[in-house]
Amino acid sequence: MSLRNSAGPAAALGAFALLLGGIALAFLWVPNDADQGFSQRIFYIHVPVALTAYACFGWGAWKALRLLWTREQRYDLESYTAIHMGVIFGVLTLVTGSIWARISWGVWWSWSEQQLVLFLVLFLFYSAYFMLRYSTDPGPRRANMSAVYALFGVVLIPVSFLAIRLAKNFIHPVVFTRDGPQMEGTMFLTFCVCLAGVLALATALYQTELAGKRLDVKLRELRESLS
Amino acid sequence: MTTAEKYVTAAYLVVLAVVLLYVVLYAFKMARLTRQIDELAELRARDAAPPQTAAPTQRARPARVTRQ
Repeated sequence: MSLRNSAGPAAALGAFALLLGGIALAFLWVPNDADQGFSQRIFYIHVPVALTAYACFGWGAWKALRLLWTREQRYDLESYTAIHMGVIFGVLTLVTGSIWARISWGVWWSWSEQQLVLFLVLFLFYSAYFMLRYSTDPGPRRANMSAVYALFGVVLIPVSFLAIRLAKNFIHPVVFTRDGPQMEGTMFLTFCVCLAGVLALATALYQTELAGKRLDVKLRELRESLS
Repeated sequence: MTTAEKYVTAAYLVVLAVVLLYVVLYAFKMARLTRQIDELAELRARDAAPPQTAAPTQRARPARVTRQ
């Protein structure tokens, strides 16, 4: 188990540069949206954060699968950290989405929107992961239970993502269709920069938290061996 | 500043605040881990050190010899 972490600082630097550039582009370069006006600029943070939350949950499920496949316990910590990151980005998705809903629809939340409700279900499902995890003693049994739970949750990701495409009556905008992104080139470029920035930020946070957790485990083992 | 501008700024600030909060919480965690490492290093140094009773006795003897 290596405690060295070279990807973390590089990802943090990349995240800082990309997010700074992305926010500058979003506020200073892209034109106002013809339909939503200035408020559409939330798109450049809300959608990357939501996609990053999906990516973190997916990454956590992949690590859970690796754990069940190989029985290597290190994947348990990696899966747990990825899901923790997903929950953090899930909170940000819900908060930024609510703010956007307040401007565009006049309400903070709409229970009739399948996309919103399904994302909330996904978020609550992965929030309950921590309750399950901490209700059992550490060890292989807890690792296996957590891994199976993380794998079940991943089914909700495509359902949540496709919900707005399957729904017949919706007010949540669909930007990415089969014909490609429905926006101007400048908007799409800004979105890509912001998405890369948020993904780099998630990578940096994931690497940092994983290094901290590994250090915690190593210290506990050392303390037990010395006492 | 229009209402839309206020809300958009708030959305970006929320993201910034959460990231900053995470960094602050992690700084506390790192401080705790550093403290634990120091404790372990101290414990190890104490275990590795020779018994303390022998050293003062050896130092005291030459002093008595000089006085005589």
